[in-house]
Amino acid sequence: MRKSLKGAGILLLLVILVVVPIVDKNTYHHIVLCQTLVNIVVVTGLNFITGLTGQMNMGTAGIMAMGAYSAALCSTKFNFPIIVGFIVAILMGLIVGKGLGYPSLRLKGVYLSLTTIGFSEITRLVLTNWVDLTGGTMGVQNIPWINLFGNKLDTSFKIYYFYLVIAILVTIASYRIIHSKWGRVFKAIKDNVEAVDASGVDIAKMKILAFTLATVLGCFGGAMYAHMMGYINPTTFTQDLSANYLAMMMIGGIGTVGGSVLGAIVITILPEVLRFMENYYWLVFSTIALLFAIFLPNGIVSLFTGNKLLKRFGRTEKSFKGEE
Amino acid sequence: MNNETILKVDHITKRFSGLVAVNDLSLLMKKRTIHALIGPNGSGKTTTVNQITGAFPPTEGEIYYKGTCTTHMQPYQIARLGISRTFQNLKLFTSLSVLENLMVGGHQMTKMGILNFLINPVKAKQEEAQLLERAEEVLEYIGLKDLRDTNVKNLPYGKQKMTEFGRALMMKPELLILDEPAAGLNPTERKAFVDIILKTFDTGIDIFLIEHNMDVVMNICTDITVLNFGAKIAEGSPYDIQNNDEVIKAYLGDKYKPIMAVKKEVL
Repeated sequence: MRKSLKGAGILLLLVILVVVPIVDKNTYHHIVLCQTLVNIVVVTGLNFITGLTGQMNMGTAGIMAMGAYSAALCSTKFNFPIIVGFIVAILMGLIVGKGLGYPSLRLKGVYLSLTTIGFSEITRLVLTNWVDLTGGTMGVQNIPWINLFGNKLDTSFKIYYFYLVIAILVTIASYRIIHSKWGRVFKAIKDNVEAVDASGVDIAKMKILAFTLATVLGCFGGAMYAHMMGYINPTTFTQDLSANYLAMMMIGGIGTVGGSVLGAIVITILPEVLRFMENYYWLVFSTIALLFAIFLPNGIVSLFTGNKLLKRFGRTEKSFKGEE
Repeated sequence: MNNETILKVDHITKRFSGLVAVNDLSLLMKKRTIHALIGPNGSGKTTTVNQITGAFPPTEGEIYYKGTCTTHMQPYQIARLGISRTFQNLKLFTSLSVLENLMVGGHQMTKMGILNFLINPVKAKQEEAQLLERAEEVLEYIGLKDLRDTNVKNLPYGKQKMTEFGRALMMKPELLILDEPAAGLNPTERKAFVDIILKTFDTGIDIFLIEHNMDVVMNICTDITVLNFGAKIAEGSPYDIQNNDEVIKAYLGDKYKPIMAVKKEVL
């Protein structure tokens, strides 16, 4: 019963995702929708390291910037095919993953957060100041459209469906990883590192793997972003962006694919929906986000997976039933 | 009984800055024995076990497992050699179910890499099924089959200890190190735990344990090493230890001598 409901929910979400851009012809809305898909990819990645393994990564903006610039520079400066740009972005993700993974073996909690913030800021400053390569604050312009088997994806509408396929593939892959031996070990590391170590699991390898999954998807998301916008500059990749991704993960629901997807959708689209409030829209949005955090501490996804709302007020489901 | 050594601790000393936690300790554990390490609180028992399992290296001295020097190995490397352990204060994965806890214990037996996993779902399923099979075998063995999907944090203490014991068994160890397995258990649970320890020993796994409960130690162990203030003060069979004046004086005080002579029937 529950399983079929879950299936129906996923199907419904898919139908909505497929139909919306056909019904809504507004080009700006299409861009927002593409952005949503990019965010789904990035948040799904972040979920591995921060949501499951419990290592606070606040450097998502820097990771995305690395991916976006790798792809953008490959296709503009060096005139490589776009596919090469995406591959370079993934390689960049592997490198950054190892680079950020090693400090995480020795640093815990807030110190790791500071390290990742530092990485992010250094990346942004280098991109701003290395004018010869990156164009500095002018950014990289005229990033070409993706060419898919001869079909030029030259509108947000076309890109949307291509990215939708990518987002679905990424979601399926990460669902499989979360419900595999790796997902289990990631959660176990969050719970108790020493016991994982004593069970014969190489923690260093696992943490680096979790970081690498996050950075590869982050960089890939960055590359998607670059080819969707056609223009990138360093001011996009500030700490605000990193915080935004953390908010998506937390408001959606930590540690689950459903949570990452819902969080990405809500946090990307909600501000746009609230635009009619003009000056007040950001205030209202922040208030709504805060209310979500207070009343749904386990994320939006908990609405669908069990009555976690009650737990918030110190009652477990069991004790609630007992009162009846 | 043969006299082959499985574990050799060779003159280890551990200093935490000024504090000497373990002082020049040597210890030989023979194959097919249940070897106990006893001593008053703060005598360095857990520190010794932590060095054997690689949580931290000794300041001086070497440790050998079946002739391999493990002194400076990482805990996971030592675990892969076949030494498995439980902890004094339970270290369980509280967000996971009993079954999942066991499966993490068996993770290192799986071989598949992540890329292979993503492109080959069929083989991935097979591997997961093998791991599940092993976990269910262990669940059956420790008697927690009914609780397989319960979150461990909702279990009573005795069952949590049993889960941790099961997790240690998952990787099919040759040497099992138990840090105070009977602590905090009621007499019924303790009896069940002792039974399962003996049963495990009979399946061919050697056991090294730290224990405070004399009923347990005197009845199941074949060899005992006694520590006091980080140094070894006696070793031998339960009978030798019970009649060792030094041990009785240091460990229990003179007036407790009768308690040491536990009869077999008590358990």
